[in-house]
Amino acid sequence: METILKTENLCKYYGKGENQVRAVRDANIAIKRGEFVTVIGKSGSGKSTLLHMLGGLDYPTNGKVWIGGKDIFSMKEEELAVFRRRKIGFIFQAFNLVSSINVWENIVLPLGLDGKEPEQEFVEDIIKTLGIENKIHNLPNTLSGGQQQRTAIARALASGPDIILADEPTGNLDSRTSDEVIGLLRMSAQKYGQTIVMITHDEDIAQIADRILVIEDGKVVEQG
Amino acid sequence: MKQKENRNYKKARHKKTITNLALSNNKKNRSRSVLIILSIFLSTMLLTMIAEFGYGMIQHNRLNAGTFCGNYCAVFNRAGEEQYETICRRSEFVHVGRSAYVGEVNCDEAKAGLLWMDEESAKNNNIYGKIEGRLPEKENELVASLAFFEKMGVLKPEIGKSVTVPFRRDNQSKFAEKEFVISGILDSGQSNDFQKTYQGYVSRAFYESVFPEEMRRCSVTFRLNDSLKVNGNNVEETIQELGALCGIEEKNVSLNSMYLMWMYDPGTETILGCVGISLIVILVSIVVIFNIFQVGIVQKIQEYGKLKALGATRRQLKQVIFREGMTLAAAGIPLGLAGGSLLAELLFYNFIVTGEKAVGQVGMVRVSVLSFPILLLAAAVSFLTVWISLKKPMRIVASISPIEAVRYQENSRQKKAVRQGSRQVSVLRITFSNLWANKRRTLRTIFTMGLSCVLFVALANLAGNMDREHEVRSMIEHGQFLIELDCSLRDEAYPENNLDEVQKDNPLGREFQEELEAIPGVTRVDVRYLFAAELKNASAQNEGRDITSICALNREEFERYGANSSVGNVDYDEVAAEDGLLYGASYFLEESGYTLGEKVQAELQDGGNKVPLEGKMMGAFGVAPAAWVMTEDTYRKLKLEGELEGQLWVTCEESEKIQVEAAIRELMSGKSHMALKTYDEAKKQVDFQIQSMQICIYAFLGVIGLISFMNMANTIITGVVTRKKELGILQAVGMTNRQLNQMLQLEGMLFSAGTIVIALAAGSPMGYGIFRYAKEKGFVGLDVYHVPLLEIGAMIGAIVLLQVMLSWILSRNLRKESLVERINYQN
Repeated sequence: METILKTENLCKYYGKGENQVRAVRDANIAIKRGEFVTVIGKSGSGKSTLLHMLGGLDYPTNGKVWIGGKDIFSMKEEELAVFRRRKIGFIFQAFNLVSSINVWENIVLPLGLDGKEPEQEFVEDIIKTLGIENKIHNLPNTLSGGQQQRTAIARALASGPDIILADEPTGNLDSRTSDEVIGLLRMSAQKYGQTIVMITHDEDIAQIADRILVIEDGKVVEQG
Repeated sequence: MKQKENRNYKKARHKKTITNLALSNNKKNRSRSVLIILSIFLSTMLLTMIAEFGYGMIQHNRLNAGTFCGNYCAVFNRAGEEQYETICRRSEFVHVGRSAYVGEVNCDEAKAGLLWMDEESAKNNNIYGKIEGRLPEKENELVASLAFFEKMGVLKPEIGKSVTVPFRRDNQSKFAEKEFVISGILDSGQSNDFQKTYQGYVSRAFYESVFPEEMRRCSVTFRLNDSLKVNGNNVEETIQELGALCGIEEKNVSLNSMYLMWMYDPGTETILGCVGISLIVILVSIVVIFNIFQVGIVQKIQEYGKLKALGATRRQLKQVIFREGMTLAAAGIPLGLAGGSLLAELLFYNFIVTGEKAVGQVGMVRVSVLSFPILLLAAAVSFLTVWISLKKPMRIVASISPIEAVRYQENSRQKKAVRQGSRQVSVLRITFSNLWANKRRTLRTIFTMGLSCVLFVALANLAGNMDREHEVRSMIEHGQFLIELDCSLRDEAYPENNLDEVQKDNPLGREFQEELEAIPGVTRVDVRYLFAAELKNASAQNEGRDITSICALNREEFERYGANSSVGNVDYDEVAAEDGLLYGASYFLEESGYTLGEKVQAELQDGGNKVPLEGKMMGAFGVAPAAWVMTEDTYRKLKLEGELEGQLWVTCEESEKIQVEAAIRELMSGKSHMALKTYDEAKKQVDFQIQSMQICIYAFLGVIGLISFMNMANTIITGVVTRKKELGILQAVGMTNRQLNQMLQLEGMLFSAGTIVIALAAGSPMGYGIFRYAKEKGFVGLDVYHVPLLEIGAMIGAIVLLQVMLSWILSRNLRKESLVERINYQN
């Protein structure tokens, strides 16, 4: 199957000399289209830094990231922003919805920024799949944590990206809601044929993935 | 004792903790603190400037009142020796001086006279300091101006030299020659009332040799003792009463009104003006500082909630806000006082020096605008302004419930849980949604910005409508030169200066007009007839003779003067048909006691003859060249015999202007009771007047605008800082830098647009009202109303430019932090 994401000697160092912190060291990852991959690691292991670089939110000290065959850091800032809204979907721990617009508007936001009209049926199907069809006019602050994260998942899916990057999507949720959200994420990934890279520190949640990567002191290895 | 010490120590610790907290809050919200300091600085600067400028004006007028109009409160005319002694004995009077008319000097076409003046009177009349030599002491000594000596045939007068003066005591006597020795020469560079005629000053001994004791009557000038409790309201009455106590009849009391106004009522108008303008500054500052604090508190409400949860009392929370504000005020106010004083000093100096040059006054006493009490007052008012601005934020913070506050998010306050929204999202919609979600903040900012712009538009209607040409033409109605009679109406001390007397041998008569017409380059000489009349009506207010002035206007002039603020019928044909009379100043019509339709009876002073006149009072002009106006048709019908010209205008080829002016001055030299005004001088004066007024208005509005801009800057900056995370998310999900910039610009544009709409909607009608009112009151240069497009355009340009710059800087600053930092930002 086609490799959708690939990194080459990806490094991110902070500080200099003795104070240098190596958040990510020579990460070489390859993820195939349709795969559900989790990256597991303890707090401070560098997993969020890795995800930010995979999504082009942060620049590496060294190394490259290819998504769909494109070296994302060779792009200019503006080009990279356009690439992000078209090819990458994000799900954050803190949901990160825009508070002044309603659920529907949040979901179609990346499409709107791209000047595209949303495919109504497709978006409505995602919303139905995630069970928030009664909440589309609600403002984010009036929703529960689970509903907010489902909205964030819908936002990530709506533009039909090449890859969805999820940063501890259950970090702010209770265990019952976490299970529900992970179930929905898994189900919709399968339904819409999405590639997902999810970061978590919860080993149980990590088990639902097709493949698990472990990050320890910035070094990424395949779980044996 | 120990317990008390312990309590005091605890109190001091509490205070220190609160002050430290306030200081660290200010430090943390650096941009907010800077904006508040700037706002306080600007408003204090304005308040200081206004107060010091007003103080300077009052001091300047007070110190220079004597130079302008003589150093005395009033003159008691026709006072005998006994009355003079009574005046001298009374402690209410100080600087008592006396003078007396000694006689007329035979001097061809000019009027000349001899006067005796003692040292104090010479000082009171600003003559003493201008004498080279000394006042006459011996019977044969004389002081006069170079021009006087020239008339007497002494071209190079020197002290000690003799001069022969042909003179007579009164009309009944014959001229006799008297030889005088020059004891002093008067610097005649300055013009003043006493030099309307060529005046010579003689000694008391000479005066007494001319008038026997029983005929001696003098004019007594004096000032009032400082210990006397008088003010602008009762000074006139006090002088009249004191006069009566000294046996001076009311009709013999001439008040030096200008001097009294400046000395005893030095600036009610100035003070009221300054207070009015200061109130506007205070209002704008309160709204702006309050809004900046309010926006900041909403942002920090969680933090204040935590303080309350940790045990801070309501009072302590109030104290935190109070000290935050007061420490910022302590930084801004001294800067404002210093800046304001510097600007006031510079502006005042410039205003006075340029003013002096423009109106040709020199030798005035310089005053400093700096005054410690005024600075203290400005500082106190500024602190008060900050305190008032803090009151509501203090109340809000004190009433925070810790639980609500910790959970508090600004948008969660909105009552609606849903938003209809739209199926499609765009940068424009996101921008609107954000402003809509923060409606109150948005509207409050637009309102405050709007408030200052309303002021701008309103005052621009005044400043932008000052028509310089119109103002100059109100002074010089035709051509390039105006020659008019320079005389009084009711001068009892020097009756030869009165209009009726001067017109007996009118220097502006036909012969002079012919001379003017003969000047090469002169193309036209226009004439206005203006003459004295004695009113005979019972409604006339003055007791005794009520002398007034009447002028005749032609159709064109009549229509021009009738265009503004007129009352009753001002139609030329109708007034001419009924031979009606119009009152010259509608504002004073009621005060005059005359009513529309009343028959006005008067006796015209036609040269030496008296001609009875009865005319119907048909209306009033806003302002006219004389107290009463008749049509030229009526004037012609009267067939008056005297030469009653009051004003002449000379029009000439523009290229010949300089030569024509020289020729006119040549013609006028040696003649008295006439004055020349040129178009160029009037223009210079008007230019200065209007320019300084415009500078003041626009500078004031500029600073007010800047204060309000601090508010807009704060709202936009706070909006960006509080939404740093949200803006980061928008960029993470694909908003480009260009789109972010667009969004911020658009937000700013909406603020600007709202501001401009409010400014125009409220400012234009207000401005039109101010224009109408000011025009009615005869404010400088106001004629035809036009919308001040240039000023409004400049205001819109300035708002948009400042806002675009601010949004651009903010958008750039935002990008200095990485996207990840922004997404992870916690308020």
